[in-house]
Order: sequence, then structure tokens, then C-alpha cells
Amino acid sequence: MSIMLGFFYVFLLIASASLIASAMSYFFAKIKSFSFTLLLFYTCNTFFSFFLIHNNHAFFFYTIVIFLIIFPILCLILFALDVYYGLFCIDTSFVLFLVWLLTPVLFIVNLVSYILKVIHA
Amino acid sequence: MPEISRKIFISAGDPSGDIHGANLMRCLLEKYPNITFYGLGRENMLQSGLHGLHDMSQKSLMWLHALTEISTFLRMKKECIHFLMQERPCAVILIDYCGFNFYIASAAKKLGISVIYYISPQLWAHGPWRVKKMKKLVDKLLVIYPFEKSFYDNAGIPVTYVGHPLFDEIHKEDVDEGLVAELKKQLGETIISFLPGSRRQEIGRLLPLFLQSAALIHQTIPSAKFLISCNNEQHFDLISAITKEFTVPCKIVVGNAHEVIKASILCIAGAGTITLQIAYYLKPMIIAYKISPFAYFIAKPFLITPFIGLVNKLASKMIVPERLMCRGNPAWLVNQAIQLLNNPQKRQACIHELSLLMDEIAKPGASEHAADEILNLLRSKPS
Repeated sequence: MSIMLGFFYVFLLIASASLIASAMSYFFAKIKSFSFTLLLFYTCNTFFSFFLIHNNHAFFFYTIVIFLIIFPILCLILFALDVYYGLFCIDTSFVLFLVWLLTPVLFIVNLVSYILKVIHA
Repeated sequence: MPEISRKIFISAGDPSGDIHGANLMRCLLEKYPNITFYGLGRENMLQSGLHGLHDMSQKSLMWLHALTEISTFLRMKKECIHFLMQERPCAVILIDYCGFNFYIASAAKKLGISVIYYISPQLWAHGPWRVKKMKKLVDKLLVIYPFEKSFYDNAGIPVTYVGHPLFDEIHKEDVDEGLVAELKKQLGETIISFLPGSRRQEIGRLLPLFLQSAALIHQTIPSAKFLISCNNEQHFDLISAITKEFTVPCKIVVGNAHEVIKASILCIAGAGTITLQIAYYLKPMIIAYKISPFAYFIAKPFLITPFIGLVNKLASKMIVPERLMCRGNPAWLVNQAIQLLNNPQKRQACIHELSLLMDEIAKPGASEHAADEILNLLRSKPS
């Protein structure tokens, strides 16, 4: 169990570091760095959620995947397409509000799940 | 153009767009009386002969606030598209308000109707990638700031600089000198005016900050008196409610922005067109704009212009103090205000720079110029 918790701890570190790094690279408009760190954040958190939640709460896990991972990534893809090709009439920059509201939520959900796991261990 | 009747669809959402739209309509009608206007506008455009499809008087919304009105906007869009399909106007004239007007442009383009965009949204300040949309949707762009021409020229959009219609308005309107004298008589010579903007959200964010600074200015300069410009009667209750939370003696003036500015020795304003109005009267000003820290974080990567104030952007240098704030910083406002009030050199330098800028851009005739461009475009198209 302690090996497992140590493994989760590494996930938690990567998730928090990549969240901070992606926020900073976004703020300073470093597109490549932002894309890389956000991809790292989502990949890390998907695995983290899977190992923490999937076994006991599969429905909750899939809800997280749909609303907190797939939906914001889809938003970012649509925004990127809009920036490059000018596809939509609406100013799609509002999706960034959604993304930056949901991204920390994903981290918090995993963090709370991790804390509960530690308490119950 | 042959003397036949022409239908033009025109759309403006904001109060300023309504004023400029009305002036444009009057110029077009003077040159070509057989035009009938349909579309979206407010009281000024309706008075100028617009057959309104919808009342736009409560539709001045920004950012996510617009989502609360989404069903109304969808209904309006449907009605407008239905009108375009049924009536097939010879042109669509869109005035700013791109959040809604881009949809009208898209529908008109699909129907083969000429789209003329008058008063471009400020894509050069935020969201410059939207210029690609503009290129797809617009046949002719009539811009009001000189630097916009090169911005859109570079994107390959047919664009003409027509001048700012605000100066048509200012040249046309006589300042009520009686009111200016009355304000000075009531409040003295040291009048500082606050012009927080035309939108409720802006007023709600900026006015408390302005009033906090007013209290501090009053401590340093007891003779200072304060005026608040309320450009719309509908905002009076909001402004009164905010004012009651502070102990500073302020007078609220509904309308009469020109008189408020002229009576003042210093203006503190939001970042919008009002700064040009203040510059026209060569009044030293401070520009402050406040957004939430989260909104600043979201918007920061897209803020490409180094200035938030129009006068500084037009001058390409900081000729008046300006600051974009996340948290209210009344101390900065007070410091700048006291310098502009007590330092004659700084004050004179500010006035001098404003006068140089106004010599360059404050010329009337924008609406007329825009009307000429529109009629040229219509002449080149079959009726």
C-alpha cells in the first residue's frame, strides 16, 4: 500500500507542477510550452484519476473524464481551429474561461481523492 | 445610382453605435432619399427613420454577461435572417457590436448581400486572430482610427479610414455654456469629474474605485468637488446606490457629458471613446480600467496593444496616465490626480500633447465620408 501511495505522490507532484507551469506559460503566451505542460497535466491526471477512482467509482471516473478532461480539451481544439481558420462567428475566447475554471477542478478532485486514500490507508 | 428605392439593413447594439448609426443614416438619406432602413437600433436610429425589428435599448452586454440573454439574441438573429431572406436588402451595414453582428454578416454573405462594416470592433487590441473572420464576412470596412487602416490593409480587407464620427457629434452639438457656468458656480473651479463608462458592468467596477480615490483627493485638496457623468437615465439608480456607500460629496449629472468635461479641470475615466471626448476639450485625464484577476489572467496573452487608453494608442505614447487594474488601486489614481492638479508643467505637457493629437484627428465629416463610401459601393452593384 505504501508503494502505491508513493506512486500516487509522484503523480500528485507532476500534476501540481504541470498545472502551475501551464498557467505560467499561458499567462506569458508561450504556446509550445503551454501545449506541452497542459498535455502533461491532462495525461498525468487521467492516469491519476484512473488509479485512484476507477476501481471503486467507475461512473464517477467516467464523469470526470467527460466533463473535466474531454470537454476542456475539445474546447481548446475548437479555439485553436478558430484562431487558425476563423471558423466561428462567435468570439471563441470565452472557452478559455471554461478551460481555466475546469482545469483546477480536475486537480482538486484528484487531490481530495488522494487525501481520502491516504486517510483510509 | 439610378433613382430607385433601396432597402438597407443596418444593425447597431451599443448606445454609441446607435448615435453614429443615426448620423450615418441621415447622411445617406440626404444624398439618396429613396433609401429605406430596416434593422436593429435604439432611439436615435429610430428617430432617423429606422424600421426597427427589435428594441436594442437593453442589449449592451459584455463577455459572459451576454450568455444570460442568449435566448433573446438567438430570437433576434432568427428574425434578422428571416428579414434578409424575405426582403433581400441591397446592403447590410453593421456598426461595431461584433458579438452579434458577425452572425448577421455571415447570413448576409450567404445570401449574396454586400456587407459593410462601419466602426470595426477593436480586434487590434484583443483577439487579433478574428481578423480572418472579418475578411471572410465583410466586403468593405470603414474604420475610424488611422492606425486601423494599416492593420486591416495587412490582412487584405478592403478598408477606408473615414475619421471618427464622435467629432461630427461634437462639432454639431453646442455646449450648454449656461450649465457649465452653473456647475462651476455650484461647485467652484476645482471640479474633478468621473466618467465610468456606458455599461452597467463598467460602472459597477469603476465607480467605487473612483469614489475611493475621490475621498483621498478631497483630504489633500479640500476645495476639490466631484461630478459623476451618467450617460443614461437607466444607470442613475445604480450610480446613486454606489455613491451612497461613500461619504464624498458628489453631484451626478445625467447626460450633458460635454458640459461635465468642460466644467472640469481633471477627468478620471474608463478606457473607452469618452477619452477622445475629454481629449477634444483638452482636459487632463487619468484612464483607469478594472477587471477581475481571473479575467486578467485569461485575457493577458491576447492583450497585444501596449496601451489601454485610446488617446495613448492614437498618440503611440503615454500622453495621459493610464492603468489596467485587477485590484482597485486608489492610491495610484490619487497620486496621478494630485500631480496633474498641482504640477503646472505636467499639466501643461499633457494639454499640449492632447492638442497635437486633436489637431491630427479631430475633424468632422466621418459620417459623410462613410456615406459616400457606402453609396460608391452600392453604385457598383446592380439594384
